[in-house]
Amino acid sequence: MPIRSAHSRRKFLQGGLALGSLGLSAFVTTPGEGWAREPIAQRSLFVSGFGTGSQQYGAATWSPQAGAKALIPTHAVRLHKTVQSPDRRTILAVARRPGTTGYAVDQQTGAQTKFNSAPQRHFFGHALFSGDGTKLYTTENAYEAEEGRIGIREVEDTYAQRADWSSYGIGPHDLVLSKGGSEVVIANGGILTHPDQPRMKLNIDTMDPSLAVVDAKTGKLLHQVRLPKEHHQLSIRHLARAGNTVLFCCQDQIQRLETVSLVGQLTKQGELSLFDAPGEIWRRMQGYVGSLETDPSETYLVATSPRGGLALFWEIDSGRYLGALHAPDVCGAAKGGQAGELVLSTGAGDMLTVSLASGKPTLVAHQTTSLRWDNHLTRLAL
Amino acid sequence: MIRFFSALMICMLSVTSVVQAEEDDPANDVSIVGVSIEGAAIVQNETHRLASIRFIEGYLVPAYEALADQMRGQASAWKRACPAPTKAQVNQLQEHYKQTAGLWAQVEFIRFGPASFLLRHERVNHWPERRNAVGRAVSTLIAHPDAEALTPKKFIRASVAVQGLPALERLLFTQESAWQSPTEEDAIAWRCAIGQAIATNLATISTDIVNDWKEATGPLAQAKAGQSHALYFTDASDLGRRLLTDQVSGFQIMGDIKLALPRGTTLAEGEAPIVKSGKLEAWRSGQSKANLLANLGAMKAMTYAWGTISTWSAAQQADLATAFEKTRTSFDALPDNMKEALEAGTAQAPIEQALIDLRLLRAQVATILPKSLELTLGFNALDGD
Repeated sequence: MPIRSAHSRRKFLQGGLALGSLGLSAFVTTPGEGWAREPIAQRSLFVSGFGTGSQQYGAATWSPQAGAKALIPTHAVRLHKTVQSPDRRTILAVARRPGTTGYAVDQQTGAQTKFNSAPQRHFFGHALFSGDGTKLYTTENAYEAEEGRIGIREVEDTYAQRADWSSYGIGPHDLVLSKGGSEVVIANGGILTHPDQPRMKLNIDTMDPSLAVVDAKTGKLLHQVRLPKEHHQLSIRHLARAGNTVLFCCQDQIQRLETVSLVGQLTKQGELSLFDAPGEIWRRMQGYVGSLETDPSETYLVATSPRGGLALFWEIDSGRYLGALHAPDVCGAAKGGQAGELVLSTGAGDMLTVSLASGKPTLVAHQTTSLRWDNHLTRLAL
Repeated sequence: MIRFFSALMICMLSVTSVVQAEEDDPANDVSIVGVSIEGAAIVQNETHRLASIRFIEGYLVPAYEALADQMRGQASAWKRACPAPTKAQVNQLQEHYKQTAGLWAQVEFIRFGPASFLLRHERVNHWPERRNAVGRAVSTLIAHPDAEALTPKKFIRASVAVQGLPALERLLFTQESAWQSPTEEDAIAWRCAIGQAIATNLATISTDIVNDWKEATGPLAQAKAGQSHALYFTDASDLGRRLLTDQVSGFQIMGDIKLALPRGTTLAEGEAPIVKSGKLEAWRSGQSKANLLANLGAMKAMTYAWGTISTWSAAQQADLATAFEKTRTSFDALPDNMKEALEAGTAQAPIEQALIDLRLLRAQVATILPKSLELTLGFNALDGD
């Protein structure tokens, strides 16, 4: 795996600044001093989709030292999750539903590649590089067939689609690699949508969400698990990984009196189990978890609810609930710079660093930007 | 850099004290970012609280009450007409349906609150549907007479596709001759029983929505008392934001789904658009235009119900009034039978004009209203992804 040089990092930053000046420079915060001189622990760079008050969208990088810089200005296309290739060179994002465009940026050259979903398909905002970085998996809606599909794209051939697999469900959303990259775990949200009826959910009473585990090379279904039948309206949307444990979070499509956990894990026995938290806290999540992530040591888990303005924290192994942080419109979550640390972003432009080193969530840094950060935040490997 | 570390120090100090003070109770173990201390009295934004109360009391609850009255009247009419409705009674039931659909159109955009509880909104109006879900569900029910399936206890667990207005429309406005066949007494009685079950279900749902809004610990009472509501909102700003977001989403429903979608899209320049007249709302009962007019009337009433007009400039007041008037005029000009007109190619121009005026109206409302309410529509919180 090639290691990027300080030179290439500087080049990338220059590229970011140049892109930032393409009509989007107004929101770029004042850069700090060159971060190559900062201590190692301070070197951290994040990337996220964003929106502005004037409804301009794209992806931007952020670091505590340099602030926010536009990386992929898409103008009208709202992005969702931004990912980095295993060789660390490419940053990529696909449009959220019902968008059909994907964007990739080569950090060394600044070159942008655009690609599209196949006809009668759209993306769901999530993509995943294969372990060796040669393929890109994209969750897609074959909306006339009413099927979830996984697009298989060739990275070296400008992300041309080479094959596609069934997602084994409707509304595939997030996906992660598991078992050393030999398996792909797909979160089938179960909600039927169609671009003709934007944002409308068309099968609420017959939803069938699931986690499908498929072979990363062939797409063959290896295992599929569902929540208990009475929870079939919990749409499984987002995933994170701690070793070989896959963590998931849900969005409840039914307003109900009883409280229900929205966060769980796929156990080594291949079953789904849910994390516990005080009932009042679940109520305040308003049935909606937007993102989840583990800290760098994969000891702790955070799940965010922008509707409830809450981020909840657990110790993964014990399942022990550690507490919550209240921040309006909080959603993005990324690994922090050290064990026990997580960084959260909000739709109001905040960047919050939370430490769990003491066994309780503690806010250790808070910066603001003028961007509205979108649902997901990603820490870039440097 | 200095500014960053100063901010960090302040946050570290304030957050540490909160965690230490409340570490015994994990439910209250909530750190703070610029909001309020968990467990302390909620500081409510009075502008948002009072405006939301005006909206709920001045518009929303009365509109739900009118709907519930009508739905109860409709249920009574079905009870009187079954099991063997005369032609006059079928006509009366059709009129009841139209009245009910018109009143539903006045609250249709608000999914927030008791309407969202246990899928009530979807159960009243499962629309738009995919692959004729309502037709298939109604046909299946008609083909398998089972009185047990229509008991309220069972019926509320039936598919949402058979529980509400679209199913009632199918029963009343398709195969109208099925109501009068002298040799099909049992089939008519069963068809009538289904209609009665739907009408009873609708009356129950709408009455429950009203009761839930008005109950002593319901969302309205909680807002008045300056409290949060366990199910629906965290504080007055959250309440206002949710109501406003639902209201503004109504423009998308009217424009994208009710007008642009059936008009169809042009695949290549110069080609005629592919019309999708079957995507019109309530075309079987001929209510497409009437429902749109009711939607627009609701949008206007909701816009003024917030009670912020005194904060609008004279120019804003005039612009908004003009925009509503122009849109009303273009909606009035839509053909009465939109389906026939779309298929004949005569509806496209008036729909286009309605879309233009609706877009301008949306721009006015979306500019003036949130600003006067000092509310920002959420970003992540509202997108459903």
